[in-house]
Amino acid sequence: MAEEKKKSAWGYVVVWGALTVLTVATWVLGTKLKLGAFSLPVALGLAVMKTVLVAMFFMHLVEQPGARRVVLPVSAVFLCLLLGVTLLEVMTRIRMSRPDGIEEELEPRRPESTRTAPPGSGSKRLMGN
Amino acid sequence: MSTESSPWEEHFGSRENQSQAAQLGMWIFLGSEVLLFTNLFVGYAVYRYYYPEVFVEASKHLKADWAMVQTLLLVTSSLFVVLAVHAIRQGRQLQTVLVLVLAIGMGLGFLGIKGWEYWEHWKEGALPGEYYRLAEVPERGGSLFFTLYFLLTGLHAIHMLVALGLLGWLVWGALTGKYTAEYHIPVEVGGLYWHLVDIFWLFIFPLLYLVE
Repeated sequence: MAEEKKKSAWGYVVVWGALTVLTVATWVLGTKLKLGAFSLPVALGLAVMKTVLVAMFFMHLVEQPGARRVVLPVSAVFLCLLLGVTLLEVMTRIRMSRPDGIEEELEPRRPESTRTAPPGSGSKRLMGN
Repeated sequence: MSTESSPWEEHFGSRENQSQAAQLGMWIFLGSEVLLFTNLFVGYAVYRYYYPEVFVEASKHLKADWAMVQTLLLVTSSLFVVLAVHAIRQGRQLQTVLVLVLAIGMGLGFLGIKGWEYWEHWKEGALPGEYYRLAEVPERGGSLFFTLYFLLTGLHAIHMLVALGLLGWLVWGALTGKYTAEYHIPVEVGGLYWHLVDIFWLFIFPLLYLVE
């Protein structure tokens, strides 16, 4: 690795500066300026930008050859597939499963609270809804 | 030149091959870690879709300002870890130890803030599942939010502990002179793990703390 000898570390500091700015921007947008419907896409967009910076430069993805380069993007593709298809199913569930034409109930009818005892007493449940 | 103590294994054929195999193995492991966290993120997405208003209310009980401090700590520790890789690639062992210790300190700071946050949630009654006692947020949805909060941050904190142990082991290795400019595979792959744990937090931060 003789060619590493001359490389400067200042590039990493620049990337760190960008990450810091993006972090503070995420916080300002999320707590001070309310973006309403755009807040989730904007926050996720900023997170993806930070991830690309970390993966490319801190994890040295830019200098990786071949198979090492594609493993992380491929796992991200699987993440998007699982997330996207699951959300698609959840958001269309009732409409598709109602051939009887009842239109007013597009939201899934959520079960009433299954809690019969006061909180923290007795019944063993993993999630409470 | 394979002696008993040499880290180079003959069956890889060449040193370059050994380094590549180690890094590819780490990348595949990191891919499986992404899929592990994916399940929690999908669960979060589904329940946020079902209970959007309750998630906003519940999120106000988290400490977004401190979460930003935590994010900055992690991002800065990532810089120190990459500087450690940079230093050991040039064979500077002492500098490697120094920046790794700084990174460990920031990781411990992160976990300290997290522990304090957990303690505050405990006092408030914002706990998962049947221990949920937060009156201001509806139990349906609110309990799910805090269940997901503790699962996501808890799994992340466990990864932090493992990664901190890994960094400590790297410090020990660098102190005893195990790593040189020629052989530093453990520093490279250990750094990769630290950065991935950092990346998970980059998504947990806006999803849990900045809901609106």
